[in-house]
Amino acid sequence: MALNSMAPRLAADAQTFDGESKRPLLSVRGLTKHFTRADGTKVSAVDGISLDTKPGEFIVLLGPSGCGKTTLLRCIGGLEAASEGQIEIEDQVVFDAARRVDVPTRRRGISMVFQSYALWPNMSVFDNVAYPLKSKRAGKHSKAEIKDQVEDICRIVGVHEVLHQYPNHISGGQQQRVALARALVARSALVLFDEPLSNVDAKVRKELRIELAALQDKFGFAAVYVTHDQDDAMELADRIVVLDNGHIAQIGSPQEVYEHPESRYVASFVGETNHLTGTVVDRDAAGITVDTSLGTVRALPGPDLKVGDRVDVMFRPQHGKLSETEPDGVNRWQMRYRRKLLAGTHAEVIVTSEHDLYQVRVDADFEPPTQDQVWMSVDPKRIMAFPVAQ
Amino acid sequence: MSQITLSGGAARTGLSRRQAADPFSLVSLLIALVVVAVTVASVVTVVWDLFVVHGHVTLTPFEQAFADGNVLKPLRNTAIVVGLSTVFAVIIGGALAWFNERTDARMGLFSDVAPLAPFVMPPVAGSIGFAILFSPDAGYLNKAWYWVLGLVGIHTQHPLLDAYSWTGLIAVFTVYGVPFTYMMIAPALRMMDSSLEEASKVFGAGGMRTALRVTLPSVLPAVGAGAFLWIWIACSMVDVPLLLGTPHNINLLAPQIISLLTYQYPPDESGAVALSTIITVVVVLAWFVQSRILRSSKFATVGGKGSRTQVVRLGRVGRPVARIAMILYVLGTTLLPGLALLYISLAGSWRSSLTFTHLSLSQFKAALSDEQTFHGLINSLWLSLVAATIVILLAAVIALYVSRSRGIVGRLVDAGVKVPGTVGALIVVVGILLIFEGSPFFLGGTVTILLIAYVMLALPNASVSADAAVAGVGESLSEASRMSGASEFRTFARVVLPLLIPGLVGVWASVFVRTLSDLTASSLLAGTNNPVIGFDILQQSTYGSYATMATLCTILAIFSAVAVLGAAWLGRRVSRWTQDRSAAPVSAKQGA
Repeated sequence: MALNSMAPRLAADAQTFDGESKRPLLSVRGLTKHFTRADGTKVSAVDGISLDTKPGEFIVLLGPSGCGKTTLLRCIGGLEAASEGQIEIEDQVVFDAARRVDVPTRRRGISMVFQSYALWPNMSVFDNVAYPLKSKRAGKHSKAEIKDQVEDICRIVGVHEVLHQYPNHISGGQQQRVALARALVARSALVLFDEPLSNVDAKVRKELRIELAALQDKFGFAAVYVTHDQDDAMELADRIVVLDNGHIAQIGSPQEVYEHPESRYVASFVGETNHLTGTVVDRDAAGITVDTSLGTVRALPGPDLKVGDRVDVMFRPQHGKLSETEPDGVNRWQMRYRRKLLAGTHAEVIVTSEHDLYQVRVDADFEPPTQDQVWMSVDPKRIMAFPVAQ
Repeated sequence: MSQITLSGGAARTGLSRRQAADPFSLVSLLIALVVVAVTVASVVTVVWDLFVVHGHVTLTPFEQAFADGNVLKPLRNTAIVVGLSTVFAVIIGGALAWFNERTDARMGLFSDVAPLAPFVMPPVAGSIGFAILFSPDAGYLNKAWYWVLGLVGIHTQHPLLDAYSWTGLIAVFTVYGVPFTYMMIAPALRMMDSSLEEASKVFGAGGMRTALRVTLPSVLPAVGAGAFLWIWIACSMVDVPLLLGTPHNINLLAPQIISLLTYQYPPDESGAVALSTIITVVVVLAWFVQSRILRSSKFATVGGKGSRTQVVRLGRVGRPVARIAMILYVLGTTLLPGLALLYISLAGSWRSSLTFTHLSLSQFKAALSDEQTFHGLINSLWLSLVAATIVILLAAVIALYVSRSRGIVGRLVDAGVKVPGTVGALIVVVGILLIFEGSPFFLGGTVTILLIAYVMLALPNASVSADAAVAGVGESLSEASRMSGASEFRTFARVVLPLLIPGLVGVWASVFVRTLSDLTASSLLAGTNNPVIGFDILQQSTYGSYATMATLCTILAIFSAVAVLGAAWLGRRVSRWTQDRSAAPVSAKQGA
């Protein structure tokens, strides 16, 4: 990819936001979207969400299907009208339920990459990419300007060779890149992504993620990116917004969300976890003691946890340690070794206690133990405890 | 990140009002409302005239219509002709579809075109062509039949087939029913996953059992839809029974209604409406049965595009037999009647034996130099072109509007547009006559009233097809256009319409052909001031010669064929993006 070819011109008309970098580019306030089911009951797909995006920031909306992430994105894009709340883009109110403001999509000055790509099959790649420019969104363009800009962006995303083909005649990865070119050609300050990588295979997905990150660095657009894939979120996001049932479960950098999840929901959705349920039997300054099916578990003192509470206890596979001899310290349990699952760079070992199954991450060259019984231990600092959701 | 490229296009026009319905939706709604108003007004006018006489509600016209005893016989006749032709059309259409889609008897493009061939031959032309072949004494094929039997020493008075008999009538109805049943069944067979049939065979069922227990139930909804479509159209069919049933007094309901309105003075409108109501009841019943089939959900769901279809090998005997059957079918239903018409028009008369001397174009010259005929032909061509174009545009705009507005208005518009289809063509035509003929429109005897009627008659079927076409265009394609800053009009013109065209050219052609050869509206609304070719042929059938009729029908068939082939060509051309990569010319088109 020739990422540099467009750089000089971009730099020329780029504007520095040094003094104003705190002003949000996109500001969502108390956004709520109800749907009415066929039987008349109201459901809130998005429930009172507030969110700010700085210029050039990459925000990922993460959650399982049905958590409201796509609805939120479509409300920002104006493809769906929210029931309550306010949306501002570049200091302009584009939606305000109370004041009955709803700026049509085409005048919101944003771009979008659709899950299905939504390339128009009746237009060539060139015409698809030129469309936003011809729709006069960015002022009048001469034919020559349009041709230049389309060819530039297509070279950058690597589809200049199929410029005069129809979308149905190019590969899925190329279609994905054309969709990207179309979203970037008008150089909107805000680009929406609706699960754009869900239709390509794992390898292309990885490639496109790297290219997308590079493009974002180069063009400096702010992105709101919807996905259910935690790898997308981890690799692309400046901030991850984990959504649960229309609410924000947690906002933070990928690292924060991964290492300090605020709820069991976030912990189990971002990264893999081993999960136990138990009752708090003791609490001191250093931590809590939980009685579980595995035995006693020591964990960090979670907020609002007291003796007698039911809690979810979790730890990541890479925080479990296996040994054939009994280790020292707390949190050690005798388990039954089941099997090793090789995952290329590392391996997962499956151990069981009673009928419960646990995963521990080990090196790829891990040698299976000589006997059935192994010890598993976890540092108490690595054990997370959350009140059981009512 | 310290740098950001500024977007040129963020809305900087200040606060907008809440997205008041955009202009495109308003225009669509307006169009839809006008269409619905005309539809509903015509039906209401007719019903009002029927039940309200001198300001009192009455059932007298009904009682009179039934007391006459003139109703039961046409009703019985219609039931026999429509019922039997439907059964045969399902059998023949199903067989052709199965040969084409699931066996190795398929013959490329010919196989795709052959079953639809009768569409090119308008019913009025087909009936006359059929009569020329199968008239009991003078029909050329019957004469050939007597001659062949004479060779082996059999002398008989029984024709091979009598065009003017029950058999003839049912045969011609069947011919025109087959394209409809085929059209519905073939795609279903094409989409059906072969693994359903393979599973049946794996578990020990034979070919016959598989066909009856697995294949047929899977396509039952399509069979029902095809049968329903045909019953719907056959009930209002005027031309075939008028031309072939009249000589032996086989009266059907539809021509009966026409004769109540045109051949007697004063026209018996209430009687006609009473008869039309019966047709409506029949169509609604058929629709009810069809929707029951759909709702039973006992049929296998047709798989997506990923499914495979395995071709059935018919074997050394079966394959040629199936192919010959298909070729004979096209010969018998379209080619021979067409050639018969052409021959008579070139020969100048219905000659007693096939001789190829003294053939000339004089009949065509005579027909075209007749002012009334020429005028009618030009009117018909223009009306068909304009009506077909208006119909597909209306159908597309309305289908789009309905698909987007999920509210009650959308549903009402949808119902309103499809009403003329369910209440029967004749009621609508009578309604249009009552509304537009006199004050305040004074459109009686004009081309405009014909245009209104043609559009209203074709719209229900077209709008069903347009619904399917619209459903095939994903909503995200329009959303992507809006996202790119395009207005709703631009979105419609550049994205939606081009994608609908491949689905709509077929509809356009069928509306064109149907309008060109229409007798239903023409017989009631056309006259000496606004002649159309259908009206002319109808008059010729009473007063004129076979040669003139054959000539007019030949002209009709030629224009129909040109329209259908042209539409097929255009359809392929405008949808070149859907074709294989190998088929698409990778031209080095430069720039925009």
